Amino acid sequence: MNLHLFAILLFVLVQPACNRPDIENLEPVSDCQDIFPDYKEVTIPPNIAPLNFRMTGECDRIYIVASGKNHKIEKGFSGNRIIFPEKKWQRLIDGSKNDTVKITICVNRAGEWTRYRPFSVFVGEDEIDEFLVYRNLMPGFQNWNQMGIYQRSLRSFKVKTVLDSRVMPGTCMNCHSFAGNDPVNMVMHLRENYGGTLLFRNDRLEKISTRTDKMFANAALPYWHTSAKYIAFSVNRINQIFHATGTNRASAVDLRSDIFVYDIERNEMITSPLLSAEEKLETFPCFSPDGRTLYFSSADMKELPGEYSKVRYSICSVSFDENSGTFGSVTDTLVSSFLTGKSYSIPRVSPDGGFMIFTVSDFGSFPSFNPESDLYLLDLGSKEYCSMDVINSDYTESYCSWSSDSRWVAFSSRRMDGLFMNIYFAFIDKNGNARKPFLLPQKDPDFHDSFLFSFNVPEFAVNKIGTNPYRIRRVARSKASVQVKPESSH
Amino acid sequence: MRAKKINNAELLFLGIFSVTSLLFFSLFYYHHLYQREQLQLFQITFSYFLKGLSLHGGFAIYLGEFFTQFFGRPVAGASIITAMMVILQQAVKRLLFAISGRPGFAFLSFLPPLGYWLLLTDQFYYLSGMIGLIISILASCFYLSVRKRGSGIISGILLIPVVFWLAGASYMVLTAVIILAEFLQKIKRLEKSSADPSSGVLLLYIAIALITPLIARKLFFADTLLQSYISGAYYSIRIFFPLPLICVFASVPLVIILHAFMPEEASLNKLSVAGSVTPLLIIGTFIPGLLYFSDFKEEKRIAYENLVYNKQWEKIIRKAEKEQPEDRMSMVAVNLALACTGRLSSEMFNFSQDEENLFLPYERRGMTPFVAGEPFLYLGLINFSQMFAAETIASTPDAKYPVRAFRRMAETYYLNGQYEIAGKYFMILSRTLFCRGWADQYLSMIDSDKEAFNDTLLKDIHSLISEYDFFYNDQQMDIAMRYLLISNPQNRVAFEYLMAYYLLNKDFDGFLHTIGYIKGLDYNKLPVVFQEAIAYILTITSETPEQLMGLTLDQSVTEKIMSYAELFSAGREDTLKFRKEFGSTYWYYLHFK
Repeated sequence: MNLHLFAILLFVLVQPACNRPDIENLEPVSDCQDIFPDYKEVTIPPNIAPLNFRMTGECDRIYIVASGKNHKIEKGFSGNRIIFPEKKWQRLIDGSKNDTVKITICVNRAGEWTRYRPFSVFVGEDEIDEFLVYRNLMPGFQNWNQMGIYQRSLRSFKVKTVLDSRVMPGTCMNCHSFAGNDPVNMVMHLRENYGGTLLFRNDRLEKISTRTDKMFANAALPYWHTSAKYIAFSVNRINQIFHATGTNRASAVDLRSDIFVYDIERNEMITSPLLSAEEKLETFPCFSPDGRTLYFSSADMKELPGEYSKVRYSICSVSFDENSGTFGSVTDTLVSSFLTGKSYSIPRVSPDGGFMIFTVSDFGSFPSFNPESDLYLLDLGSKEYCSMDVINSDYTESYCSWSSDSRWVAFSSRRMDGLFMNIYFAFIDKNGNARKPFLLPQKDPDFHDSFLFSFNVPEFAVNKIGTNPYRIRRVARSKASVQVKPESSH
Repeated sequence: MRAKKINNAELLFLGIFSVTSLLFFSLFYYHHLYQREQLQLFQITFSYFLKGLSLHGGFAIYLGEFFTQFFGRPVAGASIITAMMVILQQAVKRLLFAISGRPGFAFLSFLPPLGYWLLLTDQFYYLSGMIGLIISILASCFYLSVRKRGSGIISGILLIPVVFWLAGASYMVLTAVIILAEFLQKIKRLEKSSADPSSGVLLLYIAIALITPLIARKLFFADTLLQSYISGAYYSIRIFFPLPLICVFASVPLVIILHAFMPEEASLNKLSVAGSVTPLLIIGTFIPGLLYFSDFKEEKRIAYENLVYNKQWEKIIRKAEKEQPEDRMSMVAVNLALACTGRLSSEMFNFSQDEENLFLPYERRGMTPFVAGEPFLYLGLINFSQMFAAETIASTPDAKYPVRAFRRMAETYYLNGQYEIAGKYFMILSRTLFCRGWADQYLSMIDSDKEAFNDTLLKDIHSLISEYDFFYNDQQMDIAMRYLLISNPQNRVAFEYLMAYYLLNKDFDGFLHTIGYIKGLDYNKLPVVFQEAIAYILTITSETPEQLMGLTLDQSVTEKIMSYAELFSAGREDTLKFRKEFGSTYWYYLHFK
C-alpha cells in the first residue's frame, strides 16, 4: 500500500479517538455556567427541535455526551458551538419522555480537556403544538422597511413565510390570530398599502373592511370565539411618545379604545355600552374557552397623552350569548388596578379554562414598552393570582399564547439584551406551576448575534397555515373587499 | 500596420474613457460614492458569504458590496467603477469577437459600460448590477467557446439557472446572447459552431429562462413576480420597474446585432463612414445623457452629510461661505458646524436662514437622512439621535443595513449604559473591514472598563445628557433645549441652539429669558448676533430689560443699527440695498424673512 494512503487512513482512524476526551477519568471541575442559550434544568416537550447551544467562553473543541433513558448522543465539535443531529436528537428525547436527558460537556482549551458537571433537561410527556406563528419586526420607532409573519415548525428549524415585505412591500402586517390554535380559521391585519383585514376560513380567503360608521378606526387585536363564528376586536387610536433620556426609549398610549365583536355569519360588528364607553378605554379582548365570557382590559379615561402614566387597566369580563350574539348587562372586575395601582393587560385564558395569564406593568396597556412588565397567572377557579416568578425576568415580558393542551405557553421577552424581543416556552402543570422557560431553539447558536429583528405575537398553531403568501397578496391587492356592517337590531 | 493603428486607436480610446470616468467619479461624484459605502454593511465572514449565496443574485450582491466598502476612500470608488466598466467593455468586445470571429476595433463594445455609467449616476442602481452583467457576458463567452454540440447544449441548460442564481436579472442577457448568437451564426453562415443547437433547443433555453424564477420563488424564496426575475442585485426600490436597466441590458444584444451587420470595414478601417460616425454618435448621445442623469445638486447636498459624518466643521463652514446652500438639510449641517465651533451665535446670519434650519423634522416618508439625528447627538439628546438612526435603518429603501446608522446606534446605546445592546451592534461592526478596530475597542471596553471613553467627543456628549425626561416634539424643540440647559448650564451647544431658535422664531421673550446663561459660559465677548438682537430690543422698549443689564454693545453695532434705522425709516422698498448693506445682520432677517 502506498505509504501516504496508509498515513491518511491511520489519521482518519485515530483522529476521533484523539478528539474524544477520557471522560470517565476526568473529574468534573464545576457546574457549567457559560452556555447560551441557557438550557440548563429546563423542561422541554418531546417534540421540540434540538436545543443547540454554544459555550460563551473561548474553547478549541467541545465533546458532549447527551444521555437519555434509551438513547445517547456523543459528539465532538470544533469551536464553541454544539449542534445536535436532528434525527438523533428526536430519538433521544422521544425515548426520554417524563425523564431527564443529562448533558455532559468537556471543553478543550489549549490542548487541555476540562469536564463540567452535567446538567439536566427534563423531557415532559406533553407535546407542544406543532407550529408557532410569529412576526419579525425591527425594534425601531415608527418606520419599517422589512417585516414578516412566519410559521416555524417547532419540531425542526423549518420556517415558512406567511407574508412578508418582500411579497408585499410597504404593507404593515400584524395581529395574526387563529380560532383555538387551528389556522383553518385565521385572521390578520394589513395596514398602509393595501390595508384591510384578511379572513381565512375553511380555505376561503377574503378581505374585509372592518370599520363601520360606528367605529372610529379599523378593528385590531383580534381574538376568536371558540365556535369560530365570532371574532372580538379592539378599536384603538394609538400614539407613541419618545423619551429624551433613560433606557426606556418609547411608550405607547391608547388615546381611545373600544371593543367590538364581529359576527362573521351576519357580517356585523356588535358591541355593548359596557365595551365602548366614552369614559373608558377597553382593549385586548379574549373569549373564555366555553365562549360564554368575554374578558378584556379596561381603564378610566385620563387627559391624554399628558397623563399617560396614570392610565391603569383592570381585567374585566362580561357575559356573552353565542346564540343571540348579545352581551350581559354587568361587568365583573377580576383583577382591579384600583386596589394594586398596577396595570393589567392582554388576558389569555388556557384552553382548559383553568387559568388566565396576563401582563402586569406600572401603567398602560402595551407591556412591550414597559421594562417592568411581568406575567401573572390567575386561577379562574379560586380567582387568586400571583406573579409567575419562574418565568419572569428583569426585562419586559409581554404577549403570551397557550398551547392547545394548556400545558405550554409561549411568551415574548426582552430578557436577552433589553431591546430585542424573543420567544420563550414554559411548561405549566395542572396546578398552574410554571417551570424554567427556554428560548425558541435555533439551528445556529450564534443566530441572535446578528439577527436584528424582534419576535412578536407568538401564536401556537396545531396545523400548517393552509394558504401561501402569493394568494394572500392577490387577495390583499384586489379591490373587492367585504364591507362589515354595523349592528342591526336582530 | 493597419492592425497596429487599430490597437493604438483602441488603446487611446480606452485611455480617454478610463481617465474621463476616473475624473468624473472622483471629482464630481465622490460624495455620492462615499454615501454608497455608508448605505451598506459588508461583513467579512464566511457566514455572510453563504448568506449572499443563499439569495438569487446574491453572488453579484456580495461582490458589489465587497467593492463598495472601499468607496469611502478617496479615488477608490472611482477607480473600482472605472475598472469594472473597462472589464465590462473588454468582456463585450470578447463576446463580439466570439460571435463574429472578426478582430478589430469594436467601438460598439463601449455602449453597455457607457449605459452603466449613466445608471451609476443614480443612487438607485447598484455596482452589483454591473458585476451581474459582467458575469452574464463572461458566461456567454464561455458558452460560445464550447465546441461540441452536446456539451454546448448542456452548458446552455446549466448556465441559465446558474447565472440566474449568481447574478439575477442579467441571466436574461445571457439567454438573449445565446439565442442571438446561434441565429446570427446561421444567418451569416459564419464558421459554424458544432454546438449549433436546433430550434427546439433554443425554445428550451427560453423555457428555462422563463420557468427558473417561477420554480425558485415556489421552492426557495417568496418574492414578487418582478423581483423573482430581477433579484436584489440591481436597484434599491423594489416596486419600480427598472426601464433604464432594461435598456442597458438590451444594449448588449443590440451591439451584437449592429456589429454583425456593420460592414467589416467599419471595424477595420478608421476612415469608413460607419467606423467614424458610430463613435461620434455614441459620444454625442452619451455626454448630454450624462449631464441629464447626473445630479450635481444632490452631490452638493450629500457632501454636507459626509462632512458632518467626518466632523469636518471648518470645511462645512468654508463650503457654505463659498456657495450658500439651497436646501434645508445642508443648512442644518451648516448650523450644526457653527454650533460645534462656537460660532452659531456670531455667524449664523452670514447665511440665509429660516426657522426650520436647526433640525430636520421627523417624517415617515422616504429614508430618514443621516444628518437628521446629528444635532441631537451634539446637544446631548442621545435618545433622539438614536431614534433617528433607528429610523434611518428602518427606512432604507432596500432594507440593507447602513453602516453609518449602525455606528450611531452602537454609540448611543453605549452612552446610555445599555452595553448588551451596544455590544450586539459593535459585534456586527467588528466584522467589517473599516470599523473593525474601532468596534473592537468598544467591545473590549464593554468587557472591562465600561465607564471609560477613549473617544473624548463621546465623553463630552455623555456629560451633556439631561437629568430630566421629556418627550420628543418637533414643534417644541425649545423646551428640549431648555431642559438641557437647566440640567447642564455649561452645555454651550444647547445654549447656542436655543438662542438661535428664539432668534429665528423672533421670540424675544425666550431670548431675554435665556440670555442670562451666557455669564456661565466661556464667551470672550457678547456674540455679534446677540448684540444685534439686543440693540433691536432696546429700540422697542422704553426701559432696558432687567436681563440685559450689564451687557454692553460694541460701538460698531450701535452705529450700524442707527444706519439701518435710518434706511428703514426712509422706506423698505429697496430690499437689494438692505441685503447688500445689512444682509448678514439679524435685523435683515427680522424684517425681510
